[in-house]
Amino acid sequence: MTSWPSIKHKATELALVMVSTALMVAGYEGAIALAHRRVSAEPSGLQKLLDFAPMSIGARVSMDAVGRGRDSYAFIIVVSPDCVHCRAAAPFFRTLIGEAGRRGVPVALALPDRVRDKSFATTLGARGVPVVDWVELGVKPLGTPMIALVDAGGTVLKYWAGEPSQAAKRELMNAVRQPSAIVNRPRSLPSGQPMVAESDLQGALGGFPVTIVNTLERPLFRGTRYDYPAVNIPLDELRFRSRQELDPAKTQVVDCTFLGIAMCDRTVNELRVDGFRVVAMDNSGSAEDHGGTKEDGK
Amino acid sequence: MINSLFPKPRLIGCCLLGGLLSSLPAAAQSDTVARYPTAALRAEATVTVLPTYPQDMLSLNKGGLVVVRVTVAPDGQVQSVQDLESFDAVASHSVRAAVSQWRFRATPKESPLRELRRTGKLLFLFRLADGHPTVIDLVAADIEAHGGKVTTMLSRSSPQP
Repeated sequence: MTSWPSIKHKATELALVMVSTALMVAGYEGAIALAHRRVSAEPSGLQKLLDFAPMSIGARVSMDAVGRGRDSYAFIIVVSPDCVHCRAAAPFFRTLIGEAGRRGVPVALALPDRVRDKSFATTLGARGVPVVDWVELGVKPLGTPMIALVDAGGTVLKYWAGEPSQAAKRELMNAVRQPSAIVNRPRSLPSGQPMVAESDLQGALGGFPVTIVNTLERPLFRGTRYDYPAVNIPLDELRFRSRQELDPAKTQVVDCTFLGIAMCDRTVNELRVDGFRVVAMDNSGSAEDHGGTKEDGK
Repeated sequence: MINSLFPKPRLIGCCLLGGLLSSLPAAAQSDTVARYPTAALRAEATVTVLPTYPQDMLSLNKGGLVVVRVTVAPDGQVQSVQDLESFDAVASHSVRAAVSQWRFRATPKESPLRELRRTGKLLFLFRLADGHPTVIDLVAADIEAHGGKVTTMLSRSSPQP
């Protein structure tokens, strides 16, 4: 005959299996629950999260907790001290939060438990930054770490999930410098040439050798910090210099990140007229494989 | 008595203001610089002197680009030459010395823009081709390549994608 503790144990096991199944059905990444055991241990918090809509494009984040509803845009960084990737990306988050602070762009930090995880928030340099519990966001994070760009109403416009790659880091820094560009940027040039993100370039070019061409005026180019080597030829000099300085055997990648659309289009045209193979790169607001924007409905 | 010797302050103020206002348009005109498209200004050059290839660079097998901004007075004389980009200080000096001797078409006296100074870029490529030192006036070469016609970015046709 089965003893009472054994039945109790089996019932607990059954409950756990049901919860796990519910997690899978809801599409919630089981890794989150496993990585954040303390949240799992709090059925009420977990239950709340399960009821929430996923924090994907178009989802509404509760701005009451974030407290920045009056600003046009805000970034929400969802992290956990128990997440290895969050710890690995901590120095970058610290830089990002610092840059946002200098630019006056609101940032909020979402942690499983803001009281318990206070020290982790401090590690991220989140002094003066609103820190909220995950459940207060009113949406279910897709994973950790996750960074979401939301509008004044809390609607998720774009997100970056997982530990940010180098390209994603650059894109995020650009996004913090000019959040509106990331939302309003068109996906192609007036001439029909598509614009690709730096992170998509590798796949698009298939390992072809490239030269990155930047056509900003000299003072602007010097005043902008770039993380990759680029040939600076101001646009009005391009037609005179392109054949002398650029290798026709290489694909010319026009860096349109800090260029206006018209200027980018002209640069691409100029190079194509001169017989170069050209790709327009926009690292300010293009979608990434691991993220999405409102425009592309990812 | 004093009143008759010195005009009223209001009158002096009016005179000063009138004088100031009348001098304003002239001052504004003489300080105005029209930024020309690179090829358009180059096409107005009537006397040109090519920079010399510095001997030191020959021995070092050195070459590169020098870009300068030239400002031209309404009478066509070169007023200033400013370095924008250069691979070598001696080459820059050579370019400045040569461009200072250039002459441009004077703005016609009847032109409403007769007081305007013009400014634009000039680009020179110092290159050793088969061991021979060559200085190429890149803008002139482009105009020549287009049959002497000054083309702009917008007038250049775009190929079909």
